[in-house]
Amino acid sequence: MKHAHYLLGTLLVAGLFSTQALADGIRASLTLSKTNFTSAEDIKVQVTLTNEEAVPVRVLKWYTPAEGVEEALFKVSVNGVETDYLGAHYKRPAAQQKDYIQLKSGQSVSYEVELSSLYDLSKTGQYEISYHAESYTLFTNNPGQDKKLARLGITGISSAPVSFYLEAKQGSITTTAKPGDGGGTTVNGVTFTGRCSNTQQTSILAGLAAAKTMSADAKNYLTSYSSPSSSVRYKTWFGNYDAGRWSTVRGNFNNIDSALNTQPLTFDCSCKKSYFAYVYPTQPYKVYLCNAFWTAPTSGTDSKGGTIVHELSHFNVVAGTDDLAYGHSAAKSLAISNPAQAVQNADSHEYFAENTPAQN
Amino acid sequence: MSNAVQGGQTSQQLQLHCSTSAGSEAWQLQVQIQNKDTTPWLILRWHSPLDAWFSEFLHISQNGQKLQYQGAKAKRGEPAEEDLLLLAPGATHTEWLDLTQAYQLAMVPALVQFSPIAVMPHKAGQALRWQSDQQQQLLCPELRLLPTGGAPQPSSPQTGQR
Ligand SMILES: [Zn+2]
Repeated sequence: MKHAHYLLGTLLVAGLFSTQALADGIRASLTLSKTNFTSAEDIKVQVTLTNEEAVPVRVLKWYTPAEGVEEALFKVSVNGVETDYLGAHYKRPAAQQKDYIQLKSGQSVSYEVELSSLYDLSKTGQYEISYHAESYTLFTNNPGQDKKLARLGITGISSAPVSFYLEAKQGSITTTAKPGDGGGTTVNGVTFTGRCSNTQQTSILAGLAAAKTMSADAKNYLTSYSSPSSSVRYKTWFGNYDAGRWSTVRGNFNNIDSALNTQPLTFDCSCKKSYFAYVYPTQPYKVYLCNAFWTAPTSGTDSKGGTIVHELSHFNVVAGTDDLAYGHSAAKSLAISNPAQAVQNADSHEYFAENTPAQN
Repeated sequence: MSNAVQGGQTSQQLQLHCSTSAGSEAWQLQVQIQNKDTTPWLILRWHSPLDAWFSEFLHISQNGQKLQYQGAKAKRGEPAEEDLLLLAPGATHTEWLDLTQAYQLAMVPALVQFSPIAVMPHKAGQALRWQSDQQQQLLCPELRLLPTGGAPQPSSPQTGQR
């Protein structure tokens, strides 16, 4: 009996039971703040990596969340079926010294990772996630250490699974994971690409609803306002009344309103620039959302809704506008100095639609 | 960008100089901004060759027809530090542009015209902050390009006015 126990002990030390009781190498553990989520929420998991070796260990950063998730570091399944990783796969040069982080013996590091922007979490159900990073270069570049770890049979970092229940979005959902573009999720005709998190998707949909409201209002105003020549609202953003220019703006808002309500819109969340957003005017109907968009209010001046109106106006098939003046005061000056340019200017359309503070 | 220059100084008095030249490869060109002043200047990247291709800052025509811009257009708020370039006294900033990144060019000569670049005098040691009331315009000379690369004739010195 004694002998048998000893054998079992040896197996454990050799790391063959690699989930929970791993006594060597780097141990990963996952913690969730709760176990029930809705699709309106971000799903944040805390990853803790602990060095259980008696010596310092150097770990390749690319296979940790140290600088964001840049590989498929997790295994995620819903109702027992593995889901797609939507994030980046990087093509990299050979790992160098600077690409490793060092953990002292017994030291732990923790990272928070948001999962809904990385994995396809579009289905309702019981999700199970575990950390699973494997690479031949994970621990190398450590003189003496790689041989030891190879002898112990440890090639990766794994954790025990944790699970949560997710109530997914209502409506029709399709997901197409295409490598490189961060995949895409389509909810009720609106497609998200570039790793939009759940909260980002929710705020885009709120901004889109605001954009529809304000563009419908602008369209109705331009169609039925009783005395165009005395419209203060029009004059503020597009200058002195002119029948031809009024009808240009009305046509633009007809097209913006129609595009918002009938065209397949795509919103991409990968931009990290300080801009609000950008589009390629020749490539409808994809809008790239950047940093300033996320802190903008849903409606009102320079809002999410207004930004969406602004961007749609750029598409050549919609209104083909330009950026001739940015911001309230420059747009107002443009209306006075050059009404013909004002009716070509994207921000002028946005501010007319936002109508904040409200004018008649 | 279309607003009148404020501050009263025209580009001829500016101590900044913009020059443009054709690259050796087809549809490539070089823009150089030289600070001949004794004080630093700030350059707003937006709508300039330092913004390729997030705004339409060129007017390109072939056979008298304007080419469609196929790059991006961005909505921006107030200029942040990352939107500014600090050009020290005596320094030259060089940008290379590959027009095929944003235009479909036919195999005939092209005329390339530049939007004015917004610039602002800067006091050494001060925070990099854009003040539109101090904004002036820097003009870059237009350029003719051949489909084989290079320009038709050595470009004559230009005042930058167009
Ligand atoms: Zn714009």
